[in-house]
Amino acid sequence: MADGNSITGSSFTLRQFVAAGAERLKMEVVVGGRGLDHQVLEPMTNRPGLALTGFYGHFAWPRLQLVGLAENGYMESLDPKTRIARLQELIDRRAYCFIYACGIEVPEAVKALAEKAGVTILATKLLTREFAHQCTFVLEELRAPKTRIYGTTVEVAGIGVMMEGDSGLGKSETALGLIKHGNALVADDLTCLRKDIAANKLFARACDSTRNYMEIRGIGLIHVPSVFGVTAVCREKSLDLVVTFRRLNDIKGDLDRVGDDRRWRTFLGVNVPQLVIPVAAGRDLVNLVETAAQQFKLRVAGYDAAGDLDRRLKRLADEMRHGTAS
Amino acid sequence: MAEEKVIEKEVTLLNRYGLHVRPAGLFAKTASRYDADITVEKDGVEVSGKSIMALMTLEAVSGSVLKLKVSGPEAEDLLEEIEALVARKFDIPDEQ
Repeated sequence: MADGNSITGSSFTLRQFVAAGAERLKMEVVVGGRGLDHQVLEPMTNRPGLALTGFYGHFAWPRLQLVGLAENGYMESLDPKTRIARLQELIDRRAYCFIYACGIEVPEAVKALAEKAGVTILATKLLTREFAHQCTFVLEELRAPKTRIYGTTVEVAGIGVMMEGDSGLGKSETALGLIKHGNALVADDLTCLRKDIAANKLFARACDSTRNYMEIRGIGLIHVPSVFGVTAVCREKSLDLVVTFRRLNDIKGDLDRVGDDRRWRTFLGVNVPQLVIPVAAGRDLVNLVETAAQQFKLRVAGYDAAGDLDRRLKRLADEMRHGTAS
Repeated sequence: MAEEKVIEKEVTLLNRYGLHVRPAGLFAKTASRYDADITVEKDGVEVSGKSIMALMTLEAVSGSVLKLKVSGPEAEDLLEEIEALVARKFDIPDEQ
């Protein structure tokens, strides 16, 4: 099965950047149009102060050009003709987006120039440093590698658990049972994964169009928060554990009976611990997944049941040997 | 196992609101009746044709082109019925 594991970051346009960050960055489009379809080539901001003075060495044109009070103040100190000529120089060097911070009024001449060149101008009320800081988060999220996996994800006892397996094995029904036990649905059937590059962790969420809905065979579509309350859903959760359902017949002898067999599933280059749970008539999957999550939590906290039992048995064996020797 | 022959075909959605709940449901229901695998691709995103939830995430609207990939013993029959279903605008009276 293909995981669609692209390790490289996602590419995105200015239009997507504006849509994702409009609220958080208190940002509006001053000059948009076709320029908004430009790709954000390097997902970070650049203060173009030095370039505006006429030094173009190492000018970071692939980034978003952030104009703060310093840059704007300098521009205002120039005569209008030079001011526009300097900006034109930056555009000629392929700058494609300028963001005016601190609620600076964008001069009409700049707007006209941008419109002619198909360059995007954005404006924000945020202070420059505040914008640069918040902008990093928005850009990182957009850039994060993403993939979609067939799996139902539930937050179980604080652990993000994705259940996967052939259709008809009861993933959604198990999720339903888990929800009734006070756990929260993250995504039904199709889980969108996002990689946090810095933390090397995966985060699971539902696709926007179907968030909070589930399909239960025989019942149809249900809106989870309406039926079970708002605590029954979770918008995003780290993916901590993958539980793979398999028909007992398909597993044959290859089944971990001890719990010390470490298996992994790899998505976007990140390893996630995996448990394979055999599905057979009469097995209470809800209970099994809940126990698996709790056992996982315990293991992360440092307790290893199989290892502990092993040590106890060895100690007993030692004692018995010494007992017979004396 | 015998080699898998995959039939590819593009269909264009004609009904007014595209793959919303009822069409997606009909699509998945039809796909599940046959002994065949079917995937649906739009704008580079590929999902299983047997999953209602997945089909709805495609956000396919009227005029969207869906690339179908069908395989298995009853692939041709399934493809035929899906094409007819799309052509009949999923038999939804308000969207003809």
